[in-house]
Amino acid sequence: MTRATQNVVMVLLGGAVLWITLVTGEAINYVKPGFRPLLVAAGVVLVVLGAVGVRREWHDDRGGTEAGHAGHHHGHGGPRVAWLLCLPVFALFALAPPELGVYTAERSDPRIATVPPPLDDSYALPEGGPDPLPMSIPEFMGRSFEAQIGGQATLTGRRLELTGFVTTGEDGRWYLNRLQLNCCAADASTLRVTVFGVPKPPKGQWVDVVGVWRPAGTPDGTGVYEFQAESATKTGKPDNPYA
Amino acid sequence: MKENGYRTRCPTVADQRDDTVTAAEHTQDHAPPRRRDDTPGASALYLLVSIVALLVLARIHLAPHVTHAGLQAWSTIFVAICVQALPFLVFGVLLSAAIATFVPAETWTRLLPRRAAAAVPVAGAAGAVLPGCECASVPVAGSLMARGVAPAAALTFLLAAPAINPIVLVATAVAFPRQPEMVAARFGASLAVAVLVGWIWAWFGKGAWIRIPERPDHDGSKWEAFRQAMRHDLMHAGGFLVVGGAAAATINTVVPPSWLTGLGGIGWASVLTLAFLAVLMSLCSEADAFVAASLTAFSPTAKLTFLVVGPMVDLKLIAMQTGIFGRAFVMRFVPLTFVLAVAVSALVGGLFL
Repeated sequence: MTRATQNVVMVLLGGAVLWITLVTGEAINYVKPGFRPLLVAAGVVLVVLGAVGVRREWHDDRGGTEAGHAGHHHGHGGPRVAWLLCLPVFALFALAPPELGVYTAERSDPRIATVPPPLDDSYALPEGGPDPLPMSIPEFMGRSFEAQIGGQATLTGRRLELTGFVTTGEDGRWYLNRLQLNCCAADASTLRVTVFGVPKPPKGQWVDVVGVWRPAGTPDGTGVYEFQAESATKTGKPDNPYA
Repeated sequence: MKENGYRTRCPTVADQRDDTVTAAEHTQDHAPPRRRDDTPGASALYLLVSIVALLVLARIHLAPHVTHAGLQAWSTIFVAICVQALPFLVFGVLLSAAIATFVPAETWTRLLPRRAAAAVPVAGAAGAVLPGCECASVPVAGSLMARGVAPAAALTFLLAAPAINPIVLVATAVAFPRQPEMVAARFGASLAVAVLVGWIWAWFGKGAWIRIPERPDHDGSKWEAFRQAMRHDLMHAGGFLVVGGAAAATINTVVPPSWLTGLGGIGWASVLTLAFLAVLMSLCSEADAFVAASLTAFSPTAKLTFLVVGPMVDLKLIAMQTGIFGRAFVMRFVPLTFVLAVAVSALVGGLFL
């Protein structure tokens, strides 16, 4: 790979990063929203570095400095493995990877408990407020987990609205799911609530479910989170599909 | 006269270059002066334009037909790993290129004790202070060696920096909210492994096993040297990062998760399972604590092993180390680190968790 080509690859890579962060916002499908400034900075560095390289070496490409590089198995120019850097760019544009969903949720082992994310200090639910109270699935699971291990039962008697996508469970049950990113989509874990009381919407459909917390009666909190629903309404995919 | 003298003293670079030019380039060299359009810059621009055109066409005509759920999940995870790692890689390489170009070589030899055995613990402690992720630590360690730091000390830094830096410890504390002993065990076990590997390397390691990266020669300003060093490291480490990302994505989508968790119940098996899982998953050390916390079927010792092994040995690191230090190095360094990491984690976990 010549030096000029390496510079082109850098521009391409940086350009792709800027494209998914600043233009289309697709980055939300892969990494957490807070990561965006760092991505933009990295994209700018890559584009500038590559562009300066192309400009500086416009007339002068002697095959890169690696030609005299003792011990390197790659010969003339740069390493051949660097071509692989085009692969994520190609995947990004040609496959247009969507957000993770049903496939990932169904793969995760339902017997494995998901440790709910820790709750913040404001523990008691606000008095009054909207009815039903919109609540994120992680918060619902956190509060449910707390109650099941003997802590405060803060969900009792509150109508809640949960948003997630649908998967099919055993014995005709269905689950409301949200995937949670720890770092990026590679380590997404499935947060899953079993819904009772309403017929199953189509698999993969995003729904708003209104109902109340249903104590699962498992004191060891083995990841069983249940919801007694009164309605399930179809809705669109949220801006950030992950929890 | 002067130029002739230079040529006789240092013929290798120029000669090799002559040897490697292809017949086509020879013809070009002897051909009449190239038109302006034929410059490398212009052909690079043509390449860029044609790749972008190809990508646009693929987006319009190919993307709508890719609907296989498994392939979609694979590509999402693959892209996610690359996107997540890229800024760390870029800024890690930036830092290492800056160290290589702007910090005088003697600074390192002055800061670190001269004897490798004494330099190793100091390098380990430095890893606890400097935030650096694993993708960055490989090129940084390479540039430390190129600046004259003993390989054993640079390797200790390579192992310690991503495992026990403040960011990672905070992440671990957040992931294990009621278990501060997990943070302490992670810190202690990781530092112990890094220092042990450094000492073993200092005593038994042979110089020939490791290919100490050379900085490309530069004629010109420091900024020019900085730019060339960055381009060089990015191309090396980046290509291998893609290999690791593809491997991890494949494991994430192809291996049935029940295989991985079925072993969780058996004591030693769960430690080994999570040790190998850490190698296969190739997570950033900033993120692995959250994954470990969610593997509830496994014992605390197994989770500790996952946290100690992951930042030191994984597919992505092996690939990057092969690119920078050579295969002979990886064949020795990786098994040594892996065995020590598992043994020390099992010991620390057995005693304190």
